[in-house]
Amino acid sequence: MKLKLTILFAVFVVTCFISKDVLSQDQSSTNEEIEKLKEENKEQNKKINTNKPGKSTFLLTGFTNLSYHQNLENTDDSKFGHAGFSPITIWQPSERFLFETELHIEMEGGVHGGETGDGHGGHGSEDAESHEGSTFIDLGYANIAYFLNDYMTITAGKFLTPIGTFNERFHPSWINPLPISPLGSGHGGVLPTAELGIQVRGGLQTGISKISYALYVSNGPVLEDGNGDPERAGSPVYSNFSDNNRNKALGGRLSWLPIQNSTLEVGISGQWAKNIGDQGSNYENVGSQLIAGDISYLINSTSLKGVIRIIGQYTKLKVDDALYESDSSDIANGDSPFYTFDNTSTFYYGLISYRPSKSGKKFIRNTELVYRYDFGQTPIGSKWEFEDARSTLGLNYWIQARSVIKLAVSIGELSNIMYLQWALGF
Amino acid sequence: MGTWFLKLNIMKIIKIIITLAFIIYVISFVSSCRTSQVIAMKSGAQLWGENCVRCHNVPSPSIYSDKQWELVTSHMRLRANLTKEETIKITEFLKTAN
Repeated sequence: MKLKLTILFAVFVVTCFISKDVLSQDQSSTNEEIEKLKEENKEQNKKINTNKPGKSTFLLTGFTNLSYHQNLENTDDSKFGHAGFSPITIWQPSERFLFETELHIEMEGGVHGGETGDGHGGHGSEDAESHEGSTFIDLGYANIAYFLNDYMTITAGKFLTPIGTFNERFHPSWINPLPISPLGSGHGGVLPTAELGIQVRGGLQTGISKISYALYVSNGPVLEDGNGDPERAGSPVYSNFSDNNRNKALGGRLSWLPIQNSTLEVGISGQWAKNIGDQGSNYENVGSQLIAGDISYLINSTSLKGVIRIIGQYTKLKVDDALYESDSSDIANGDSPFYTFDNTSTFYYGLISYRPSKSGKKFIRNTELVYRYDFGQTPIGSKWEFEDARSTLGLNYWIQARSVIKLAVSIGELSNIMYLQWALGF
Repeated sequence: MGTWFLKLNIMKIIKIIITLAFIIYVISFVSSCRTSQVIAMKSGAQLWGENCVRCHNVPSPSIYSDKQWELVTSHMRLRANLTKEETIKITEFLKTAN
């Protein structure tokens, strides 16, 4: 018995020695494997970090469109009137900062009442005709934004003028339900499109309703006193971004969304500039006031199997009355050397659209019927006097969510035109 | 139509704007101290549907990557005056649906 125990103990001791040796070898091998894996992991991390995007992010987006128009009164007047490409770049270097730009690159074969849908060329244009047959490049906006708190953002640079809603929200051709802009709106129109200055804006939830606001200080408009372009004497030029005096324009928009689902919005906006004439000139104390009211309502109706959209905007522009020099030819014809007029312009439009988005048939679901009535009147007695009222009926077919073919017929006091446009957001 | 607003003294207008700005700032400061119950109750999908369709069609969430949606929603926060909370909820929904 004692011998057996001795043998067993000896076997145990020998086994332990052998095991220790084997385990030691395994441990060494495992350590080598771990080191090898660590090296491989390091290499992989290097590769990942090489391709890993940084916190700063960049996006290129935008929209493009091609338009065709047919003058219904003059069959010879038919052409592909406008092709436009508007890239939008968005750059966010950090969570609180955002930089955004929009560029308009447009080839204009003809301008008929803002035949673009991207807000380019409303009636009363000071330069719309001069673009015909040429490529036009314009910086729509370029501004840096700082998200100050949850409800307030500061933007500085060139930003879209928050007067009414069309300019800020509906000017991209794939968003505008019609191929043409409302009278007075858009680049080349009487109303402003962008400001150079600083802006504070945001939204606040107040109970079930919501308030949206924008307040800004900008260089404001410059009065065309007739020395540069006698045909435009008395008009405020918003596209001129050089400030001609020490006074700044103040403006903003305040809107209220009373319904919990934000389908109804009522807004009021305005811009006030005390001095818009050249400093030291006779027009130094001429000021301008712009006021606008807007409404939008969206009805998602089950019984009508679709969505009804109602949009309206009223804008009034008043420039202080002043005396402007008559042309030498007018004076030769016996006119007074100076003339004046009530420098008030009025623009408004109402739009209703219906899209049967809940229809069982895909083709029907993708169609949209639009009607807009718009009116525009520049000062009576001015050399840029103009008045028009249009009824535009459009039928859209949505190929995709951001790609639409629009067919519209516009019957106005000045012209009757059929438009065809393909707009694409990307 | 009355044009009283066109005859306002510029200094009065400045005072009105400054007062409005101050009121809005105070309201925004007070509002930021508590989460809006209305927004808290709404899902990202609901906010996406309510805010985006007010102006345009809503594209499929799959057209942009998660990172790109962050940029798009920041851009739209500025354009549509969305609050930070609304923006975050909409972004999270788009990322989830992507």
